[in-house]
Amino acid sequence: MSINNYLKQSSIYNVLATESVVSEDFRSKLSGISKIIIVVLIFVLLFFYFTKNSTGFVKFRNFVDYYDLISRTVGLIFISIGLYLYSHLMNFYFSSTYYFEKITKNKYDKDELYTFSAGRILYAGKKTDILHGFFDSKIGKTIMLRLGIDQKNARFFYNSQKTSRDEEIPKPEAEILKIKDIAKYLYNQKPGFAKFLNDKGITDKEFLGAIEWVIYEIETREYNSQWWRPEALSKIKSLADDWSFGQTFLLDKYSRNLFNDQEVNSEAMSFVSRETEIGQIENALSKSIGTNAMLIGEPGQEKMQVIWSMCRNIRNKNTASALQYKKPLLLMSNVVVSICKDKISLESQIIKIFNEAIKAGNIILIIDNFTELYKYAESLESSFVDLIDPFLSSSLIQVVALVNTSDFHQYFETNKALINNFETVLVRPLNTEEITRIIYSSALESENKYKIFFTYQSVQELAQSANYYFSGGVSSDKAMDLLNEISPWAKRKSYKIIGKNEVLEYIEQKTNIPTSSKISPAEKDKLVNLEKLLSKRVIGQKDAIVAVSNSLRRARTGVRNPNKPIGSFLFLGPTGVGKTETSKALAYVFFGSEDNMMRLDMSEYQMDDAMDKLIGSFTTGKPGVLSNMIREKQYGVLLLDEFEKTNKDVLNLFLQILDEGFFSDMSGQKINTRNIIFIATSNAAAEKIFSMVSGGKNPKNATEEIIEDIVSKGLFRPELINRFDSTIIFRPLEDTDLQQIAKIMLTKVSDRMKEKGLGLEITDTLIDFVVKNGSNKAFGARPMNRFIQDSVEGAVANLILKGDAVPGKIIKFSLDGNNLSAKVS
Amino acid sequence: MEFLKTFLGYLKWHYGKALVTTFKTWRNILFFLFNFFSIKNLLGNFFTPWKRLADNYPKSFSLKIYSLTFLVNTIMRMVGIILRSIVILFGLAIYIIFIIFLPVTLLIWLALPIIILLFIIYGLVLLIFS
Repeated sequence: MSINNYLKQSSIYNVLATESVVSEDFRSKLSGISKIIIVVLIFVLLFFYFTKNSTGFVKFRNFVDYYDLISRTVGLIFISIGLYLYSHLMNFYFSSTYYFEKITKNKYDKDELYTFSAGRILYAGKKTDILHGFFDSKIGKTIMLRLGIDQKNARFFYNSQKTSRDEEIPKPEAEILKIKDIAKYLYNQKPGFAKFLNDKGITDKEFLGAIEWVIYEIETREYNSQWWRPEALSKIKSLADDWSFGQTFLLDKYSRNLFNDQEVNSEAMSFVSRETEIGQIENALSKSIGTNAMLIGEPGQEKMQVIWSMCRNIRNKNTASALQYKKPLLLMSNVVVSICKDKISLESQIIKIFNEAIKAGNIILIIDNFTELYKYAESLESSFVDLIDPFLSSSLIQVVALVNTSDFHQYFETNKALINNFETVLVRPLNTEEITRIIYSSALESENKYKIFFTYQSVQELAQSANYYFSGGVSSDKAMDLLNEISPWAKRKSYKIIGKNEVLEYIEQKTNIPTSSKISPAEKDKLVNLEKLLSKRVIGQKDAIVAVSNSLRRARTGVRNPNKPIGSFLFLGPTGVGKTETSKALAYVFFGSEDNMMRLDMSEYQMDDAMDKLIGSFTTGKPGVLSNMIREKQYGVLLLDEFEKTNKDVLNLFLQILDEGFFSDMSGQKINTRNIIFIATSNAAAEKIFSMVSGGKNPKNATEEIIEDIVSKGLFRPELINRFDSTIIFRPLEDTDLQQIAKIMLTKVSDRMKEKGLGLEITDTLIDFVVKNGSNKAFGARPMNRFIQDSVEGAVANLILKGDAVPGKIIKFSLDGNNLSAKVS
Repeated sequence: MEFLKTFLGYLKWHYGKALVTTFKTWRNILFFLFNFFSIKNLLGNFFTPWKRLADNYPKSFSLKIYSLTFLVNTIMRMVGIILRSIVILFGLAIYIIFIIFLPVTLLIWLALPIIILLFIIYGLVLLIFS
């Protein structure tokens, strides 16, 4: 069947045919121009009327046919009114036949085979094909723009495609053909189109996402233009609904009416369903007694989003009968706490608040941050539970308490006296797709305000990045904050179009975490030559350097698993062979400074309080060392020194961190560790490695044997070792390695001396002496630094004090028996 | 032919689906007015004291306080009844005006295509033949 014949089967065809002549733009211009003409001409007529007796006008009348002019003006007004009415009639025609597939999901007539938007594409392609129709239709062009494809690129592809006649009409997934079906058809049946999108880095999921957003935008506009809907009319506040109810003078001091909140009155359509949670609250508030609900969710706005949706339903009279005509007041716990300074005033105020709410008769009391009020009352030695129990257990008042998940577990879960009065309702955390949908409307508002344009990918990236780069808090709040921050930033930077790269650029600026948006030439160079750069500082540990470098390259090119830390390594080897130095070098080379290396001496976390010290404690309220460290620096190297010495609980914590890329602190807040490189060091296998080396065996080739050795000693569980990206064996340093290390250290001393105008001659004799006396089997090169300080730097200091070493002089060391002597030349 | 079919399609909408929408709009507006003047709510609480500003009767009997409370409560009830009556009557008046007005809108709607056509033709006549 041809597209045209298919289209004609539905009554929408006539609307589409009319729209092809009287387009939306045309209607809008017609309405605007005719309105201006009407107003101007009415003023002209009034002017004629009021000045008809003036001398000037009498003269003017001698030149023109006055009555002719008047009737022509009136004629023009009539035509303009006719056209004005026509444009609005047409608007009504299109608006009332519009099929809402996203917002209201209303029923459709049997003869409507396809939705309006699907019809628009098919109609545009009735003389060519669906693909060309997509590109020719306004909606198709908008979708392309939302995907970041400009007109020029789209046109270029369009022209390269041949028209295919007599093609099949896409099969609808549901009873009616939607634009989504057309999109899937184009993507699967037109390889050229799929390739075109893929070449631009656009996936099928993003294509469908952009369509969803465009449909959302159109439908919101159409929906809001339908003033005659009951929901639109019910936004007007009724005259006397609260006349039958009491006043709440005291309560007003501590609370706010949620009907006045912008989120309740906003025109933006809610695209994420909270019906389950709202239904549960409505059921709880409709019970015969104990009409209370406890809404439990992560800290942030998600709980309030549920409440706002519920308030919107109450306002629209689309709610359970027990909630009809009710006024939702948000009791702000922090205000109560700040005003009521002692036990007596707190108790009396709370009783008065509840009594007043009961007397008013129409109050739903929503207690924000219920835990704060509870804890405050407890701190004043007031029994909060006994105080409010008579109210809660009655049927006289409806209460919704908002509680954070961790607080619920800590304070209320086992508190039967309190919890029996509440129905608990859990707020489901949103997934990335839902967060993307939540920010649709705000992104459109930002576009209007800042005159910028968001691509679909940028909005999706905002939702994803909120979780990925920022730890703690609710994802939808973080995504919304990002959106609100990025808009003025883009405006300042004169970015008109915000794509994925701009979002990543902003995040990079904000967090200092390099995002994979673009790798600068300097960084690219660094990544390619990472082994070389690290080898300058780390001597004799080629295998370790290669493993670490590979892992970093994976991270920066986006190949790694985004739900795990950038890298995690277990460095095994004797003391003083470069394990710590590798970590420092990595922080310096890759993260820009050694300051980006955090360090935890795990031997300090052996006792039972280790977990409290690391992630914080419920009882003392003291935050943890690890939580604070990662909150402050979300990107860098974290060195876990002497990892084997910590206790079992801590090892289990790291099992989760290495596996999932986050952990929860004492308050239950998630802390993101996905931008950290974890390096755990241990010299547990040192003896084994020494014995291998002395037996002429290369430890590198016996990693399995070494791991078995430490597992058999019960130091680490095999599953923990397997969580690390790689276990790297550091071999004992050989003399040549030690010589190189000595040379590097002496060069550092020489550099420092140069700043004072002095020179240091680094001879083989000096190097050999340092190696011989500054290193040993047990501690490797670790004592070397100390030795250089004592012998070399000490000698130089003496020469300076004696006045022998003055700027321009060179200091040379020679061997005097078994001692080192310094001379100035 | 195509034009005629499209035009007929429009007329089918104007005198079919749109008419249904018009009736629905009436219903919505009447429902809105009913809610706007809170008529159901006011009738349901017709004798309640004004904004529930009533005193509680004393627990121990005292004729003076008892009669004073009774007086205050009666006054508040009277205030409530008077104000509610005013709003209900005013609301009903508006309601009736709308009910009368709505058939007029129906007539305008039915004649709208012709009205538009007449406006444009009359305007053209004035413009060209004056």
